[in-house]
Amino acid sequence: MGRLSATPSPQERLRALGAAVTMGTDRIGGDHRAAGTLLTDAARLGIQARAGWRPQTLAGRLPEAPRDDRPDAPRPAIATLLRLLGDPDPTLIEEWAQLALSHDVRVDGATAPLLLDWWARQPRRSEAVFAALGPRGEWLSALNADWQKPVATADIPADADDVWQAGKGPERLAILTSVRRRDPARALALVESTWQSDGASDRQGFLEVLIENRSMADEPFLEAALDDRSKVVRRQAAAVLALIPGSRLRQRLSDAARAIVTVRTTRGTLLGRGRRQVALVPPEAFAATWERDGIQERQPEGVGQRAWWMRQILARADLAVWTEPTELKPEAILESLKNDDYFGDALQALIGAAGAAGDTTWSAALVRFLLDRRPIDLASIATLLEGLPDDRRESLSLEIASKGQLTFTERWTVLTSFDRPWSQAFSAAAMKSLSSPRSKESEDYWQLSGAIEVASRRISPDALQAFEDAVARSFPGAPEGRAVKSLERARLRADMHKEFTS
Amino acid sequence: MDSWSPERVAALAPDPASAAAGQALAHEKKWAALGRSERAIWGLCQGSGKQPYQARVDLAEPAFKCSCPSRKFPCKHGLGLLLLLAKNARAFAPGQEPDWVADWLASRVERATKSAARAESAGETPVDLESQAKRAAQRGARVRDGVEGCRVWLEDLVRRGLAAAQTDPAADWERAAARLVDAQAPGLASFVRRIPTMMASGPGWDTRTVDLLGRLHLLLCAAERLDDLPADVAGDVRTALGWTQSREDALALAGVADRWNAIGQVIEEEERFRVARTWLVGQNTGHRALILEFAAGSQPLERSIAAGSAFDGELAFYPSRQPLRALVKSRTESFVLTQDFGKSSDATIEAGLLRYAEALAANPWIFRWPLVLAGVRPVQDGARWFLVDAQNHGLPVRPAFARSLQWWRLISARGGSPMTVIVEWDGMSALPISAFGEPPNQYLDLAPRWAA
Repeated sequence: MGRLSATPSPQERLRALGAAVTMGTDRIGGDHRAAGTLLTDAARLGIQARAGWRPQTLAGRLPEAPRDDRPDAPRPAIATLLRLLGDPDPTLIEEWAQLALSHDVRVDGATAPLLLDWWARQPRRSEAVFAALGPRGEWLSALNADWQKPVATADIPADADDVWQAGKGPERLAILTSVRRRDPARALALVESTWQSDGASDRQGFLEVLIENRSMADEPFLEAALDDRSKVVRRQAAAVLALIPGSRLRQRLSDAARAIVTVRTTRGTLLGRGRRQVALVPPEAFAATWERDGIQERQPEGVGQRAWWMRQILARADLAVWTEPTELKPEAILESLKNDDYFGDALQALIGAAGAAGDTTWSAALVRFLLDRRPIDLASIATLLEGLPDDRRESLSLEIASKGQLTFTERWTVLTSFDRPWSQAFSAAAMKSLSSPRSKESEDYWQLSGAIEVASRRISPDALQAFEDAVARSFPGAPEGRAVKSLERARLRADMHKEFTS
Repeated sequence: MDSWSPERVAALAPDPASAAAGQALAHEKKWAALGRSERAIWGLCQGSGKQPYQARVDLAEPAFKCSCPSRKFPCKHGLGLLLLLAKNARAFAPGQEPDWVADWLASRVERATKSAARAESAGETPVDLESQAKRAAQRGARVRDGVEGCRVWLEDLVRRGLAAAQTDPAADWERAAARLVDAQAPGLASFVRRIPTMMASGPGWDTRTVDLLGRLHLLLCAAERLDDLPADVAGDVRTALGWTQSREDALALAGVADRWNAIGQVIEEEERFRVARTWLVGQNTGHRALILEFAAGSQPLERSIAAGSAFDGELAFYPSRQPLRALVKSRTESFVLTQDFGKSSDATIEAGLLRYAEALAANPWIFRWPLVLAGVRPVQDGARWFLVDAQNHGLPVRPAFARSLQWWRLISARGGSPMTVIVEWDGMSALPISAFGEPPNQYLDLAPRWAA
């Protein structure tokens, strides 16, 4: 203070001493007193620099955060959220965000960055979580590059085209996913706009995104992609086309399937007309055109070659190739086929086709059919249930669980075979159907715990008591570790729902 | 004190994991025999052991006691119990304290009475002056040897240069520090241990390191002429050398009565111990105070004051030219901290820096100073972040902190608008430790123990 402005500040002089002490006084030609002198200067300048430190003048300010007039989330709900942020299970936080949205409450400013940061670190960024953060979340994501990827925002970002043209791989994929969700035609246009210059693995990734909201509008482009120069792209295009009803690829493979599914009518008797008998005739040779439609010629080990071709074709063909020529219902077709040499392969193909098409009639028939077979194929049953609309899925799985032929564990497994929120009615009915005591037969505890875990995530909170009772019945002794965790999770969810209404 | 909120309880947790574990236990179903009296709550919690754990909380301070083997303090059972009180007080049946609660409370009262009596009589107790003087003389001689050795070592370091020393094995630094511990000058040892850390602290390390060396040099110079210094300065030099001052002596001094605001608490792990720094400001006197609490090895770190609280009472300051380190001498009533700091707030950054400069002039070995900054806003300038006041004066935020999630909590708390922020200032950069968020001016704990 009070010095001429030309004099270096204590900070600057201290910096010069820093450079000198890095070299060492011996090296810069000091005598035996130089070290002591340097240290004395450093002591004095250090005190001066700190005591005389002058603040910088800065006129800037951050852009103003937009108002958010929603009321604050209740404090207990925030406390629960903070606890969940340390939990490895993302579904609970997503459920929390859904609750915040449905109660129209906001996350307070000091908590918002914690939730936003969690969101940004998830491999699958939930839109509900970002939406629950509201204007404060948008404001923060504009300030911090780590949070800046607006992939999951409610609208297509204004700079979507720029990002698509100039962005890096993951950003482009994210923007494409976002656009595809809201404006499928625009997403297709984006893909076409750079198709010629994109690398093979990018092109394959983009086609994968097009699976969502696919329609016949995509078909001409995808059909052309069957002649792409890259094999992975051709394969991916075929896989998407196989999922589009009415696509030329499906028509071609349905034609091939019609040659496989044949009908004979048994001779009539005095008492009745002849019965229609379905028989499978796998292809004799691999048609040259199949390769282009994504059918693989080389079979995996342990599968017959003709059976392999048949299985792939049937899985991609319309389900009508079964019902139209035979004029039979799915149940009758399965019954008629069950002694066929190729029935096992056909069943796998049918499960795949019915699941992908979400065909309620076929799925229900297949599920009922599978229930009578031993060992019971719970994995396939789950696949089929997963493809059904919520109400059908719930009523069908209840119907299955109420049948006597399943073990206790199997009932649990069927009821929990879909990982989506359960309706209140289903939750109560499902727990009720688990009311009969455990049979004497040995149960698979590992499988049982897994089923209970799914239920704890998905059950309606109103059915908490019924769930606790069902778990208690499942473990005649004390429940073990994983089941205890599930009980805690279910209680926490029930508390969480209450916290929002208090 | 009925106003327990989950946030206040969470601030008592020694770490985030304990806070989460406590949350999980804040449920009636986890407890048996929940009860409460005027001054305490208690409950039984079935843990992994055969007997349920007996958890009890004295609501006055609060103080915790639990029969579980955890080394965390307070343990998850104590936190869970208090959280449950915050969430659902009706879960606790009012009633007679069982023996295991009453006995503990009684022993606490007895201990408090004893220590007060000790503090009162400390001045009168006849002491063996002769042997005390002898011990002091012995230590004085040892420390003089340590100071002499340290001076030779330090000048040698400056002659060789830091660039050359950078490749010295860690064991060399540790050996130099250990010699100073043997010489009963642990304060010098911790200076030496900080040098390699400072040399690895990123851009500008050489300026910071030469500053540290200068401070060590100043301490050595002062130690050499300890006998010529005024008594209070000599006291500060002894403290900096690592002489422990007597608690009893300090408690025997006249206390400073005020409404003491606990504006922040930082917990740091050193090599062999953990330390809790609790900063206080006096509502009416404007005094700043620092309460240090230590725990060696795996001992639980007991903290007598919760960050974000305030109490009426007396602090006893250790003698110093710039009294700062203090002990709680007495307290009557506790409150939730509010944003109104009266005289103790630093109205502008300039005013705060002036207070700091005065403190530094009195005791140049003050490493950290609390600034209570009213109405500052976060501003970014290039890659660096600042806290800027209404006069557009800005303090640089320590870069490591500005990269943490805690900094973003601060920014977002008020959406970038001016707010009250408490920082530890070291003369070059600010480390935010707490702030006040959205209305109703909620206390935000930002201390590094919570750093993500």
